[in-house]
Amino acid sequence: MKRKKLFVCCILLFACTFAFAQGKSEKPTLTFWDENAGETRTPYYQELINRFNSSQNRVTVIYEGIPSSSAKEKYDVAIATKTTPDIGHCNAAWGSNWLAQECLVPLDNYFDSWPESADINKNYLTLNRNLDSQNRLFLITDTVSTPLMWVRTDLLKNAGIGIPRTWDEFFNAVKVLSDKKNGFYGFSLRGGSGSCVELQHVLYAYSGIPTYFDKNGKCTINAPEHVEFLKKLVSLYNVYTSESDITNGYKEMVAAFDGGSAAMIFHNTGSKAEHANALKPDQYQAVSFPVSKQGTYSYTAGSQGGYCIFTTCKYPDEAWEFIKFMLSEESNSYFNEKIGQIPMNNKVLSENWVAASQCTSEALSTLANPQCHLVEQPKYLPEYSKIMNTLTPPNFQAVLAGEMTVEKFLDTWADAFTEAYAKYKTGK
Amino acid sequence: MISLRQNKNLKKFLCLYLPLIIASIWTLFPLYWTVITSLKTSNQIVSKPITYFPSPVVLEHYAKAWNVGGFSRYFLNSLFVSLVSTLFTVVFATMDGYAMARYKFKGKYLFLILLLCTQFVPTAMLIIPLFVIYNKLSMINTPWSLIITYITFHIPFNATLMSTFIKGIPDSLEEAAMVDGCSRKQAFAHVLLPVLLPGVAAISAYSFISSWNEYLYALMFTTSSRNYTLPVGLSMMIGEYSINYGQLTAGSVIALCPVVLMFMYVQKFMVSGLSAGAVKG
Repeated sequence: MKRKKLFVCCILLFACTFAFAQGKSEKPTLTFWDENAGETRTPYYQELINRFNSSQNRVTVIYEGIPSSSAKEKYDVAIATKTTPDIGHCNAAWGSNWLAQECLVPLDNYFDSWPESADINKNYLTLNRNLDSQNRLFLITDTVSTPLMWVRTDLLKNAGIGIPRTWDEFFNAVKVLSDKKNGFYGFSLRGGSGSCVELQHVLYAYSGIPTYFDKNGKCTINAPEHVEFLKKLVSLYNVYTSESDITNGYKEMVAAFDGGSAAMIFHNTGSKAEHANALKPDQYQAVSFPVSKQGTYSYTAGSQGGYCIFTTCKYPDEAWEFIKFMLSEESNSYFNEKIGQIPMNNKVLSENWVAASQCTSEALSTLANPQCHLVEQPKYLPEYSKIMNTLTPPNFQAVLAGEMTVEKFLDTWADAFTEAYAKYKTGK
Repeated sequence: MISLRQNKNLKKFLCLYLPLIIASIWTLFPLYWTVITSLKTSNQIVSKPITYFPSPVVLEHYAKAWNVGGFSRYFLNSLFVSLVSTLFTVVFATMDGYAMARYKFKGKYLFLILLLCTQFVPTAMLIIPLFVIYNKLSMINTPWSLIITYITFHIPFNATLMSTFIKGIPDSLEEAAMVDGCSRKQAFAHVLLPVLLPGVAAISAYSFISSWNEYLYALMFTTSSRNYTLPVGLSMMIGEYSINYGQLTAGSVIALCPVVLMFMYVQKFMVSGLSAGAVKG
């Protein structure tokens, strides 16, 4: 009996040691949060993560998708409670808040020692570095959606007019295409959520002003050219646009375009998938904003997402391996081809799909134009999100409703950023 | 000349039936639109002119939402969290309500006030402290963090409601049972509880629906999609640049079904229960 008990104990001890040993040799797991989960991106992330996990034995990456409408709040709670994921993909506009909370790992050493670092778009690297007061790199952009105009080529053809290539042609086309009695409009204005983010793209595209702040630190959003353009744009509202445009968010604006009740919208390459689902290729086209008053192409940086490593990550070297994999030519090409956005690995630009994708090649050809310059939006200011999402949109609605003048609206906007910029400079 | 009877019928139609019809259309049209959108093809959803009847009727969005969109998992998560939290809420709220209705003890009034004061705290304020607590207890990304939260938030109001129901039942019923030899527990179970069914139905329905529809805590306390509940799963259908209207509406109909079925069963109890509580309170 005693021998039996001893034998059983030995077996149990062996089993426990074996199990413990197995546990010890398991690969570490890294969590990756995607701030824009959904069927247009999640499957491609999961495919790339499977490829990464299969290609190496150091670490296993797990994908976690977050609804985009609440992604910032979820990240904020995670940062406040120190439960951030190991790797995050996020909007660059959140960067300044996060840097102030010191929750991100600087990537300079990793990036500088990476042989393929020269392949990554330098303009956007500069914008990422500018998020930090010491120009350190905390976020690397892998995909960008650049602002442009979407036009319904079928509706323009029916009306017998060509694609507008100047601002005068654009305003003329809006008027010609509108048939208010039958519920068709030449343009759908974004007056609701996200309105001023889109508005600033088109204001700078019209004026050609190269910088968001002048040399005295004053915000240029209320320049006379912007006032002039905005007055023309606002005069379209409820005459050549639907009355409901005052509350239009992204969804309503795209629905109007895809449904055929609006012939043109201002948006970016990111909505390509929606249009491709709803329309045939010969029914729509991406068109770069016309040349500005100064004869240049002035583009604000657009929506830039990127990878970062949080300080709670216990395996930053392995996390960097994952980011390198995602930024590599093959992965960056695969992902951006599938989601219809601009790749940040320069080697991808010469691939066949880029030339075959109308909106990508349209955006790239304008960006490559020597007369094109990027206007850096002040995403490095902690007040950027608050001003763009809380202060300015209701004021824009007041302008559309006739309760505020264009001058007052742009002056308020400019004053808010001028003050924030001054605070930022003195705090440096 | 309109006869008196016809005049009466006309007045009844204009003052009663017509407002009811308008209110019904106002309330039911969004539901109707959701259902027919879920049955349309993707092209038909965004095309003009607007169609009020799907043609052809397709069920692909339901199949995709359930199999590919993850709604099978979200549905089970929501069901588990809602049922468990409702069960515990009903048990604790009934016990609490009974104590407040039948017993006299020091600080009873103060306890009632404190219980109601918890309702003044905005739920968003408690996200971070609750998250820290659950994180230390390794409960983040488990359904139990949601269950405990929902129970905690639902008990005060439901206990107060139950207390009002119980006060409306004469205590002579229990006294008679106890005189006949029942213990207090037996008197509660065999005499009081059957009479309390409308109240139990009312608080069950309220607790279940609140747990079923809750979004903010479900989003914050779960970190992987396998633990998401239906409201979070529905929000995943809306991306930054894309909205899957078909799966979104199909998922909404799937989310609606248990609540509608539950209401169909308990509605007779709810109406009498809520009104009894309101009048006698």
